Amino acid sequence: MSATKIRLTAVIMDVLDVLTNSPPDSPAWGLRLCEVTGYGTGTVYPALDRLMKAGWIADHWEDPPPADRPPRRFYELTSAGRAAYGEAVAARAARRAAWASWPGLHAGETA
Amino acid sequence: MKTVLASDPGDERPRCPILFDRAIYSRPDDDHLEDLATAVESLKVDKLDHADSGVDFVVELNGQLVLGQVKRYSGKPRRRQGIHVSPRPRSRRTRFSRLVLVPLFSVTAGMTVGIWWLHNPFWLTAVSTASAVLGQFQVRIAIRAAKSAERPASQLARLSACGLTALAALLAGRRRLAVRDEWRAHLAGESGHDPVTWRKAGEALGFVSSAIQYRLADAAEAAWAPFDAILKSRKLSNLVVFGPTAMAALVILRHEGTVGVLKSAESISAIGGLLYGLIRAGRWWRNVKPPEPKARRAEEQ
Repeated sequence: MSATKIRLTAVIMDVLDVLTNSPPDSPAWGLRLCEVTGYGTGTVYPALDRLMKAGWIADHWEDPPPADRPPRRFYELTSAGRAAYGEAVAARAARRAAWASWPGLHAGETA
Repeated sequence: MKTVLASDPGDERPRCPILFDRAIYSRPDDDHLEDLATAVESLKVDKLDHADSGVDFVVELNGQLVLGQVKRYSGKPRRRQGIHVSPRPRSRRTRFSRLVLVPLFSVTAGMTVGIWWLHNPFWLTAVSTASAVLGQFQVRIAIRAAKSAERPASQLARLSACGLTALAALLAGRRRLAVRDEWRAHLAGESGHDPVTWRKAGEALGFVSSAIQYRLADAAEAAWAPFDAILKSRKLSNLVVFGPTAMAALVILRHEGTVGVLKSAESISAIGGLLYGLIRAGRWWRNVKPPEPKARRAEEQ
């Protein structure tokens, strides 16, 4: 099976931003990701699933599990995911810069 | 026997009925029903706030927690005058629907599926089965909706949230058993005991959407597997590019001779080029890299 290719959509970027900025003592979980990013459950959980398949994020369960409610599933960026995310963002910025420097593409230059 | 009020501030047990979606239907033994009723009657039930909880009391009975609801009936009492305890008494309409309507529908749906099975291909059977199952849900939802006039809106919302979450967990499949707990934790909210609202029911609908997307992604992954095998292997990729190209050249050679091949060189190369392009595009799309050729690998070492 091929390594799942992650396309940096707005949803993926937002989710990864939240995961990047989550403190280690308070890792992100589904509800918080939905609240912070503003996306619905039908958007965030499939994105998390894709990231998990690609190995960019890892999950772990709340330990010890609380007695009075279901345990939460926390998500964290893996080191590979952090590196891949950094590379992908850099590559994206480079592509955008290349497009931006293409003569005649800017409205200001054509005027 | 230890009795705990669900609304007792000192009680740290959960009140969210989502957490109790199985236990709420647990029935105490008939032998202990009287004890339970006595225990519950000794509570000042009028002071209970069970507007959004659905669980009025938690009673520890012979080492087992029994959750129950306290109801007062203004109409003709069915079993006992005054307070009723779990198991909840069911109305005639509910009994009728459970005993007659749902089995009748199941039998009809089963017969329909059987007839389809005999006369139609597999996919049509699958579709009719799915519609029969969905129809079952529709019947249940219709029954719930018919009863909703007697219930507060939060009850229906809770039923919807619980039902949709269970359906989503079912759709997600065995490979993703963990999502059930994950989604229940989500519905329980930041506090862990959030009341169930229509917003939560909407989120539960999102779980169903997620589960469907999981399954579609799995199906797509399975469908890509043979293509991945071709893209990963240089031999197979070369076969895909050169096989049809050589075949086209041979057919032209057979019918039109060498001159024909030379004349059609452009078309033949176009076939090869197109297939090569497809392989390269497929490798980029699927993020697949074939192993380096042996000679080049040895040179690099």
